[in-house]
Amino acid sequence: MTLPDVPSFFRPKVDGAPVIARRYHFSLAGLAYALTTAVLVIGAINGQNNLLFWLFGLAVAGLVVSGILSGWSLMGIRIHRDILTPQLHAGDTLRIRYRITNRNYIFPAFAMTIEEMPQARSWLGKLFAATFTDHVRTPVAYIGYIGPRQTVTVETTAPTHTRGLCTFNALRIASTFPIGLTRKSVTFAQQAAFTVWPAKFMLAKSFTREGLEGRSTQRLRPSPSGDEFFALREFQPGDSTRSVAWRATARADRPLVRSMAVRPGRRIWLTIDDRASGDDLERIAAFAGSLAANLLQSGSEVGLATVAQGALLTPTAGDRNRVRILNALATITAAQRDNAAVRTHTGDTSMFIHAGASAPASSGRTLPIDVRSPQHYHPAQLPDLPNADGDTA
Amino acid sequence: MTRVLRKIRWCLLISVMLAFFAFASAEGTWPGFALLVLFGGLGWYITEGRPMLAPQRKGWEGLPRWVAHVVLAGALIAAFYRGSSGETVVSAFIAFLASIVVLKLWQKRDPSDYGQLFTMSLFLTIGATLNSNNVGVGFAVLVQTPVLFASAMLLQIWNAQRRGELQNDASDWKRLRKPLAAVATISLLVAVIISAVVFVIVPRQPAQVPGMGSLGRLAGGRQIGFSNQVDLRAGGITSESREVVLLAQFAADSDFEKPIGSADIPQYLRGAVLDLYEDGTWRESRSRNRDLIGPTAFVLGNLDDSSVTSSTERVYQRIIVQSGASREQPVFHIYRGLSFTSPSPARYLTDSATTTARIKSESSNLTYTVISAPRRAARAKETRGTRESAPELAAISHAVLRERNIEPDWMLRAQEDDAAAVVALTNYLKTNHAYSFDRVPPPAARDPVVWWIQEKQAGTCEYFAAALVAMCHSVGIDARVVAGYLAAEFDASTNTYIVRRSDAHAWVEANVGPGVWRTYDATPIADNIQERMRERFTLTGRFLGFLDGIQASWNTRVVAFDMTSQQRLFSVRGETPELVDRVVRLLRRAEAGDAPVVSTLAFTRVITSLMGLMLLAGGIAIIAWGVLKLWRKPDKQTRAGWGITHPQQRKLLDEIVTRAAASRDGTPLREWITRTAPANQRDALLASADDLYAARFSRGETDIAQALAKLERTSPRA
Repeated sequence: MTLPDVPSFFRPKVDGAPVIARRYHFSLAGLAYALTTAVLVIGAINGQNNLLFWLFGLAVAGLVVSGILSGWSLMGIRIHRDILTPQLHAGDTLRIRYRITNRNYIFPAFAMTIEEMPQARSWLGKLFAATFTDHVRTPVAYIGYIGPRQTVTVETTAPTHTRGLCTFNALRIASTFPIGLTRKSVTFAQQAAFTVWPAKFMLAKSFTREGLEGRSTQRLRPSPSGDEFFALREFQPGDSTRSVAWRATARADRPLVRSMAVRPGRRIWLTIDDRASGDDLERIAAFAGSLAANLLQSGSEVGLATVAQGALLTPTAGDRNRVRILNALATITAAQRDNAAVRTHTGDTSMFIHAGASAPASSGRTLPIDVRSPQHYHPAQLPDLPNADGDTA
Repeated sequence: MTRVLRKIRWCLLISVMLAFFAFASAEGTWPGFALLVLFGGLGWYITEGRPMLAPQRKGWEGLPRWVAHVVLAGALIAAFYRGSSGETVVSAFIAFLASIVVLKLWQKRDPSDYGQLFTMSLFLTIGATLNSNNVGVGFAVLVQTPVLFASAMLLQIWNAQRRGELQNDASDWKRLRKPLAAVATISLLVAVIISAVVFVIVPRQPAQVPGMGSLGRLAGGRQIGFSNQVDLRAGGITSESREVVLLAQFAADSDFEKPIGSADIPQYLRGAVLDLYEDGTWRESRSRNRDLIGPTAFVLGNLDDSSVTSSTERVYQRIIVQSGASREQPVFHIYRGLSFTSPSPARYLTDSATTTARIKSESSNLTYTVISAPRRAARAKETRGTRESAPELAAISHAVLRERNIEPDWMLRAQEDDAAAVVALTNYLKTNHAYSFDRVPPPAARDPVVWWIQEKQAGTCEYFAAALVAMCHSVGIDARVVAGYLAAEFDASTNTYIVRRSDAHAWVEANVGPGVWRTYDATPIADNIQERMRERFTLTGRFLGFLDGIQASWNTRVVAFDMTSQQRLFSVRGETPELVDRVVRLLRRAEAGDAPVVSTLAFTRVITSLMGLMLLAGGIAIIAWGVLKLWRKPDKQTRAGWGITHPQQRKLLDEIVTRAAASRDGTPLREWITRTAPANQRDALLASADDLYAARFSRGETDIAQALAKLERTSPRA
């Protein structure tokens, strides 16, 4: 983006998120302060004790200075949020960057905290709700000082704990500076969303890339991006000259091109038992995500299905499919009904990932995997593994 | 431990120590202060200080809980005992609070307890203020205010740091310490100004009235100084000021060639005769005053009248007023004043019954001459007789006289014995009562004189004088309180008595014969006044005088500020406000000659000048602001790098500047590049400038690393 090169004074002001509310929150300390001030003035008038009058003056001065500083220092604050880790698994650390600008010409701002709000109401009563509390610990950032007309960037982290679609909506910047009588806050609205994928598990060796690698027995499938030779064919307009098989062309005396093919990997359906709920479902999703990643790394084509919803994603190879599978797993919820048998392709392998449930009827070969069984995990993962009763093993 | 927390801990120690100081100052318990400092400081050191000063050592875990409970119970019992044994409620409470603060210092604290301890130290100081407003408490408040202010600010920062889970605040503290110090200082200055304004404008009562009851001890400020009334019900802190108020010369002739006086002869300079007693207060009865204007005023007819007095008995006095010359004030003189003469015309209020006068000079310098005579006038009316007096007082007086074989009943006693009777009563007071600055207001239901004679038995000269007068009245002798100065500091080189504010005194004139009013002084210190004068000039005396000066200044400006002071300041009575008056007098001093005091014209001129000055200052400030704004804008761009503050963006900017190889100026970046950059670099640098602005205004969408790489590709460093 190119901006007209004009003096900064005339440049358009680029504001951050819009302000939806400004509030004073009276603290207990503030109430005690007001009460003490009242007692001081009563004592001073009653006793005509000039030192008490002086203390009363100081108390009033404290109120005035506190009001001016706390009110005006946050008046020109603007904020913008950037999610630095838009793709992460449950258990990973979310990183957020805030860019805060103090547009005030005179007053600096001190001792501020930035907090994401699960819900906030604007001046007009509009509700700004977010879902992040279900997935991540509330991010809080601290800024010690922003001078007048300064911009400061701060980063904060927060651990994620549960998969799902995580949304941010309102964020609040607050300060009790200078003396903690009131907590002044300004709430901004800025939407952001990202998906917290299921947690990553270290699986047993048989489920790792090395364990899963093996040549597929399936036939070659023509593909221009393939890396195996498939056949020679006649040159057609549009074919790249690079694909011309020059020797064959010379022999045949007509232009021939090489046709390439790919050898498809094993096609594996991961069938999720979404009849499970709670921690079982979380574990199933996490196991399926980890297994899918390993399978895809080993060159397999992985599809996803659930007991209740049937096929969700047809088997495909590649990293994009990993993202698709993880996104799908992130949003799977517990189903209420036991669906019909999952349709699988002939010759496909189906892995039924469950937590102690029976496998549904299937037309293909089905490998049941009980996520509560320690044998499926790498030994380092075992301490976190729940046993069949749901307790941590 | 963060740096902010470290600062908070030091502030905590200072605040607590100042609160202890305020407590000790209000209660007068300096050994107690030493104990509090010792135990409190030790507790702080072993729980906070030692791990802070020597990080390798662990702080003590603090007192076991059961010990803390036992100490708390002990402090509670002690507080109840103090409260029930005559101490005021506030005294008992603040002693309890001081114990709790010490206890808290010995306990292992959670950082959230700091706010609690700061609050307790503040309340300890407020409690001390309820009990006393002496200069010690004032000092504690004065110093504790900025400490608490800074602590409160640091606490807010620390709370925010804790909330943001900041572990190491070294860089944060480095960034914020200077602005924080600036904001704290400015805020404090504003707070002091606001508190001063509030202090001055909050309405006061006419005089300081004890209103705390049994809750606390009110201590109004009093300074030893001349006053034309003696309020026996007023308590407060009494202080002395060494300010010179008068210079007095005495002579037997009008040319002052035959000086009178020496360091051994103190002189009682009468200022006001207080012959009216109402509700615990002695004051002047003004009904007999005559209002005279002129250079000279006579109170007892023409001095040439031989019936007044003979010329050989006359004493000539020259009084040079050193302080407050422009205010109406008494004409000070010894004996009975006969005539008062001022070089410039003045207004006199004379009273022939008491032979006193008041003077209001038009000049800012005041010197006057008084002619006095020691003996009585020829005509005098009978004033003997029983006056209304308290039965307890009469009983004491009668007992004193009977003990010395003097008839207490005035009808049976010969008038010649009246003088002996007064001497007996004077000696009784001198031997059985002590001189003290400690002024405690008497209980509201009791007669202050009786209470003082029977119970308090110690006080200032006013109590002695009032008590002697009351005792004289109870045995049929007419007497009155006289207020003035006891001049004892004599400068032999100029034959001048130097009269200081602290020399103010009250004594008694008793009618011991037909028309004979003789001076009696029941105050014990009057007997050894010369010794006191000598002590005044020793090293200790000078130091104590310095402390007294501070106390006096505090009392005058802060403690004794009342409705009268407010009226003087704001001219409620229609006079020129004192503030304006002072400014005018300052301006007048700059002018040659001695102009009359404040006229309406002068007042208007001063106000107009002030407004003009304010407008001028405002105009200059606006112009300066505008110039600064215009001048700083390019400078700011140059120094800050065209408003680029983000570190990565600055890096790109620095690369552009390095390649352009030209000195920066205030022109916009693209224009600057176009004008200064080498032709082979220009396009690449302009493209980088676009990248920079894109990053600057598109919230980081442009990758600076990419832009830097692109710049390196398209415009490699020379």
